[in-house]
Amino acid sequence: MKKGQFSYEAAQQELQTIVQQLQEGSISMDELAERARRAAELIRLCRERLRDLETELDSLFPED
Amino acid sequence: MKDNATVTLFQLQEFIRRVLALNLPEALWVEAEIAEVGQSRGHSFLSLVQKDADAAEPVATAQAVIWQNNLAAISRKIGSELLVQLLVQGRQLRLKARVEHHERYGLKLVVEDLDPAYSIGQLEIQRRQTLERLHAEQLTERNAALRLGEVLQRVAVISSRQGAGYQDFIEHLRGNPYGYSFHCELFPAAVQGQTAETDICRSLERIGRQAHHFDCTVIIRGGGARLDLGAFDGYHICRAIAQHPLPVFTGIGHDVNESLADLCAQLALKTPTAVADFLIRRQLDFEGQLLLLAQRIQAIGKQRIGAARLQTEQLEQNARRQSAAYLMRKSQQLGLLQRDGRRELRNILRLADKELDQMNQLSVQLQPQTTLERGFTITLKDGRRLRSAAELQPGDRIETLFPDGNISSHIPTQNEP
Repeated sequence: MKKGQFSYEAAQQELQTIVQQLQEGSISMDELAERARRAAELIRLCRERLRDLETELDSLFPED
Repeated sequence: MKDNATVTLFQLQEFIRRVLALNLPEALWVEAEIAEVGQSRGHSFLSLVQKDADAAEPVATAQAVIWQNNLAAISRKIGSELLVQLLVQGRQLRLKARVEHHERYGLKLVVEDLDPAYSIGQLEIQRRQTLERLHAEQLTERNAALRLGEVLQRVAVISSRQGAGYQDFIEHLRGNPYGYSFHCELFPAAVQGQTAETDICRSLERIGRQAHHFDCTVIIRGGGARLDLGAFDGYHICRAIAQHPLPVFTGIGHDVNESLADLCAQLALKTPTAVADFLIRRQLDFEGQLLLLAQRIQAIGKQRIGAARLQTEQLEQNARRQSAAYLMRKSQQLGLLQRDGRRELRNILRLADKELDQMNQLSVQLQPQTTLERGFTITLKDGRRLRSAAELQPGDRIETLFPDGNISSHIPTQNEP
């Protein structure tokens, strides 16, 4: 996800996919840590954006 | 007056005045719409019209005035606020007026009283007609059908800049206890009075042209009286909301009744602060979902790790057990082998022993001593055993071996006796 293309919906969707994959057991133990790291990153990004005005302004005036 | 008689203009006007005064001596109730309204030196001057539904031009017009003293009396009776709201362009009025005719200024209605219930009733009728039209054109559900984003952070605000409602809204959003940020852009519009409907429609249109910059549009204003909300019952504002590309939230007053604009919006809330609360709540819900997802990922991860650890332990145990069993099996095999080997070895030894015995016996039998004891002698010449008499020549010395001793002898030559 590039800056300015951020989408809460996309992030949420990806998180749900990770949860689903984990539940189904389709993620190997080797991938587990990597997926968990990705999930944590997405959550951090979302929470940051919920509070950070600058990022919203970036999304208003995206740098292409 | 005779057929060909000529009158002055003044005489004509005076005649009309007298006819009018004679025929309309009392004040009477008149229904009309205000086309224009003006104030001068404490008096109100009204241009009244009557429009037919289909006609573009009015079917009747008249000038009217409410003198200062009458205005004060009406204001005392119905309240100054309502009076102000009644005397606006477009308002349907039922007014009590005397018809006056002045030779110089012509016909004028002098208003003595107003019937606010009529105006409110007229508004209700209009409202109902507008509502029917909105339903018929399927405009009431349209904005509500728009998909709402999970997070509504970029907000286009339609309000009057100075209005208390807008300030409340902004302060409420800024002061949210969770530290959420919002980007609000104001699109100023009058939210009451004559220009409200066109102002709001224009702002909606402007926002619509840059809809991708926003997550939603809110229309807010502080509380107001029923008539004051008239703009929000207008057909055009309702259609503009319905056709707006973004979800529209309204917070346009504390009134009990919903306005038609409310009906056409994605969601109608009572006040600007209620709209702000809704937006904050939405972010809170979203963050809550995120945290829930995080917890689930953590829980499932832990579970997976636990399961994997258990599996590893089982594997380890299994491996230990298997290898122990293997070793045991091998050592058993080895034991067996050892036992068999030992037995085999013994057999071999025994056989060898036997063979040796036999060989021993044979060798004993074959020993010269044995031969001697059995009664044979052995004859040696020069220490070598003789096997044939031909080996001897006269003169040779021989040695004959007996079991109990040796005897040397001499083969006599031919000339020996």
